[in-house]
Amino acid sequence: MAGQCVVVTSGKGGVGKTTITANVGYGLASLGKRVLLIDGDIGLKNLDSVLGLERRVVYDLFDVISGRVDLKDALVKDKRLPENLFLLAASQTHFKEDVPEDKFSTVVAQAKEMFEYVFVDSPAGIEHGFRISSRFADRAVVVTVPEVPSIRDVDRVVGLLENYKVKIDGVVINRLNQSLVKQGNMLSPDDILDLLEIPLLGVVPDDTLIVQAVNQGEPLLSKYPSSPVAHAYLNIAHKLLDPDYVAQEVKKPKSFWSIFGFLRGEG
Amino acid sequence: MSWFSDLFGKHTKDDAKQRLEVMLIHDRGLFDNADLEQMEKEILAVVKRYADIETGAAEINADRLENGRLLLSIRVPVSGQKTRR
Ligand SMILES: Nc1ncnc2c1ncn2[C@@H]1O[C@H](COP(=O)(O)OP(=O)(O)OP(=O)(O)O)[C@@H](O)[C@H]1O
Ligand SMILES: [Mg+2]
Repeated sequence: MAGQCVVVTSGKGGVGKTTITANVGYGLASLGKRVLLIDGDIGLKNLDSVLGLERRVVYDLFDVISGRVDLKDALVKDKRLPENLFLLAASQTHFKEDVPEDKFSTVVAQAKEMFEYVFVDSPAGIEHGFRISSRFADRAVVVTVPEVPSIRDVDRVVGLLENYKVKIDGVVINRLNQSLVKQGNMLSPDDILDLLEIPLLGVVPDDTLIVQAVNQGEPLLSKYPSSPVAHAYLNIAHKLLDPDYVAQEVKKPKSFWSIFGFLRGEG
Repeated sequence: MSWFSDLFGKHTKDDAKQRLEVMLIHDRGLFDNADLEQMEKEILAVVKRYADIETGAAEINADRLENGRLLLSIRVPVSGQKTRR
């Protein structure tokens, strides 16, 4: 089996790469694909705790690179989707610079033999950690929030990815606040697409449910599967499988107050 | 900016978009400021062979069009035609 390696990257830090890697990976696995998530943020660990797998991590990327264990023995199986979703954790006791490019490339190549989708959660920045995460990827998902510095960074990263000959699947616009957009105080997805010359993969609303899911150590997609954010992540997973997929409208949940809205004739 | 226009008139996303348009042109390295200046000098040198121009008033601009393409525009106020010999 020759799978595809997809890097999730952004330039700017803290815009949602890890959350998106976890949830879109979870989404693809729930759609029946065999998925490996590699935490590329070496020196820090994030992906394991967002997935709630931190207590099951025994070996990490560095153990594989140093030849201490085989790749297949270092993988952590996600029991919620046991045949389909796996994690290769990052090491906390090494720095990104300790990972030689050729060694990382070998791990990616082996992983692609075993999985249909190999996601690499890239660290922020455009230095060594970004480079090893991106260079061996077949495809890229870039992530931005609707703010000037983040959009600017994404444009820069797109240029670098093009140099590496990585196909850019598109941009995920994260943390959109619809009411700010309506006010004219936040760039809309259309504005952002006008500026960046890449396709749209999806829009994820700003939602505190994400914090609650992370608190509980569950991907939002498994904890709150009928929430609007979960729909957004699932739409992205579909779109990665089929670029022609038309995103389903995110349904607004009927809240207590919307019933009163109905009574007032707003319904 | 008064509180009134803050409340009612101001759409800060327009600022964001305009600023990004300019930033991305520069970041993409299509033209940096030094290139634009040099190009302006060379173009003006050619125009000067045919017309009297107010050098200080000349302007060269790079703007992004709706379709993502770049529009280069050059404004050269001409004070008179060069007399032919
Ligand atoms: N759509 C969203 N709505 C609300 N909060 C969000 C959303 N997406 C991400 N967050 C929160 O933003 C923070 C940063 O997210 P995340 O760790 O995924 O970003 P990152 O790009 O991986 O950061 P880093 O660059 O440090 O690796 C987290 O606290 C996360 O819970
Ligand atoms: Mg991260």
